[in-house]
Amino acid sequence: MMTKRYFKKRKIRGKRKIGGLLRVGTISIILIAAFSLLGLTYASWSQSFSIFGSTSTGEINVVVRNVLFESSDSYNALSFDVDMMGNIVDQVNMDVETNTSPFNMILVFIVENTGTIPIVCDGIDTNVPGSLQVQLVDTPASIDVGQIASIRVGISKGYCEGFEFSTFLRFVQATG
Amino acid sequence: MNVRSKKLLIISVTCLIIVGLSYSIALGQELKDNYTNNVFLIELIPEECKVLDMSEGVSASVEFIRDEFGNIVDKTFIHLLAENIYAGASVTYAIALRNISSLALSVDHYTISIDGGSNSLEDLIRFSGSVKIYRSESEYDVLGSFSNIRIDELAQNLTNIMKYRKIDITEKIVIELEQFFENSSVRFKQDEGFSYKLVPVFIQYFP
Repeated sequence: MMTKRYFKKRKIRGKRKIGGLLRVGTISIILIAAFSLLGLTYASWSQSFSIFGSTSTGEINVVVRNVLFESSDSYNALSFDVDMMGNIVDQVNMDVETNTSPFNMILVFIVENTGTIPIVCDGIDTNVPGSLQVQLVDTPASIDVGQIASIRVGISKGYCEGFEFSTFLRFVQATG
Repeated sequence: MNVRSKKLLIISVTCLIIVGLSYSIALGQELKDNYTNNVFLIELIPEECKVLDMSEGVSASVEFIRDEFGNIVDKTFIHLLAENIYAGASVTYAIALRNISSLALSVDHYTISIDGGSNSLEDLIRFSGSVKIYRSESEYDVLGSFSNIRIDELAQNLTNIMKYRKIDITEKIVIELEQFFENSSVRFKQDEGFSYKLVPVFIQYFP
């Protein structure tokens, strides 16, 4: 009787041991597989999205269509002509005989805004700043795209002969 | 079985195992690519992506990748275009997205990359906007908003607003994004341009 019970107990203990081991092993494998799958699905079920923004500035472009002689100090003789390249002013030639020194005159620059944004003339420069005075007399507050406008420029120069110079009108974006 | 036959058997078995392994790897890769290429979680609603407002003279639009017949082929890409901008100009866009998957989603993060020919424009651009989530056509929550931020702060601001927020199935997100340029014509030069790429990454929502 005792021997029988002993064998029965041994049998049950042995079964439990193998079963327990199996359960732990199975659970571990399932857990590993589950976590791997979780990682895989997390990686797979994500999506990026592209919002691409591009920006470019407007263009400032001005051409001088004509230059007109408006007024000046007294003179003995004066000739004024404009050389054109196509319909854009290339050069202005002026010959003055005068006793007035310095000699002051007002020229009108007819300009066209061929850029893409409204502009304003905010100054004038010259390539010979020491020996020639140039200044903006009158300019519109804003020159719209495609608009033709007049810019009055005052030029003042003492006695000279065969004097050549260039002027540069400065344009910036019109604001406000 | 002699030694020669054993060697032959081992080589054959090894070859078969290698062939089997490479087949499995290729199949697995193909399967993954198919999933990631053809299955979308969220996509644009093109008819609701538009320019809401822009300054006078500015040319702005939203564009998509289309085929030769004009059909949109990729609803995960949108181009926000702004041309002829100037100091003080602004453009406001609406970007609408819908959760088309069968999962609840959330935003993991946003990234931004800037490709600028000039640093001056990048310094001058500012963003304001808001993010709304529509539960139905008329019912929505404002998740958050931001104002007057620099471009390098945009991704972090959007991430902060949207992270951890559940986007349920069929819910719609509308991002209103205003980009404007500071009114300082001194630093504005002509013929400048720059672009940026803002990438939100959507993932399955985990509570």
